Amino acid sequence: MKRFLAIIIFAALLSACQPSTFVISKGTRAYYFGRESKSLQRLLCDSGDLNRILRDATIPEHLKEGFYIYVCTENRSEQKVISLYQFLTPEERKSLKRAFIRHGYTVNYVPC
Amino acid sequence: MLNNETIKSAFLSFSILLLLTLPVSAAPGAEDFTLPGLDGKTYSLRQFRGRVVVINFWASWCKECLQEMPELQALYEEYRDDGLVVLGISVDRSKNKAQEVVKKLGITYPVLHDENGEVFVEKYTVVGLPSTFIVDKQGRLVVRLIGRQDLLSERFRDMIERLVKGGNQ
Repeated sequence: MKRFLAIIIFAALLSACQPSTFVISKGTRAYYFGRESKSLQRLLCDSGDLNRILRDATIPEHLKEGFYIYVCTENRSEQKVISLYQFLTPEERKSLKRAFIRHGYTVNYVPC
Repeated sequence: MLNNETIKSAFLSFSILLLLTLPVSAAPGAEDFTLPGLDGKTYSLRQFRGRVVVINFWASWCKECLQEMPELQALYEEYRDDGLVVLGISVDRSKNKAQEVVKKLGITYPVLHDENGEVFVEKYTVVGLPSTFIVDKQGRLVVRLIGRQDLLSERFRDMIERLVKGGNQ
């Protein structure tokens, strides 16, 4: 039984600590930024929100373009968004999250 | 009780075991890249074909990266005569910051600068820092480790030794 529990805890910890971005929400639904989802695309892309958020964020231009491409175009890719996010410096990450908040989003931090 | 280190160690052992039991032909080819080194030279992955290459992605703001680098330096010193190549890839925006770290930690293996994320994002799609990839003598990407590793552990050394001293398969 102890062994079984240890395996379950181990699996849960591993799945909980997958590399990710951060959770954003506006209204009733929450998403990981970058998750490949049609409703997230409507929320961020069709509304023009992501363009405005990226314009406000202090991050290099080519990274802004990357975020837009991998979130809002046919080339969208959750892994690329995570990679871009990991590539940001701590200051750039803060700036991106603040830009989300300024545009009416709630940002939740992921513990690992 | 299970602590963080135990979990990481178990996960590393499991990954290594899994990788070593997989048929090597299943490993994908490592994508080539060319980047400037902090030493002013230009480095390409293909120039090291026929040697085992450890690629370590890091940044000066990443504390775990800085803990891992001295271990990588020790591993490099231990196996470089056997042909092991270690390439650090800094994703710092400023070359100077990366140079400061390299000097402070006494790193002597080549450190490259991926200022725009060309390798980190576009070619290798790295999803965490630090990340360590290993390319075998045939140019195949055989190990992909995300997060802080114990690079001096017996298991990790065994794997490096097996790859470095093993013949062409």
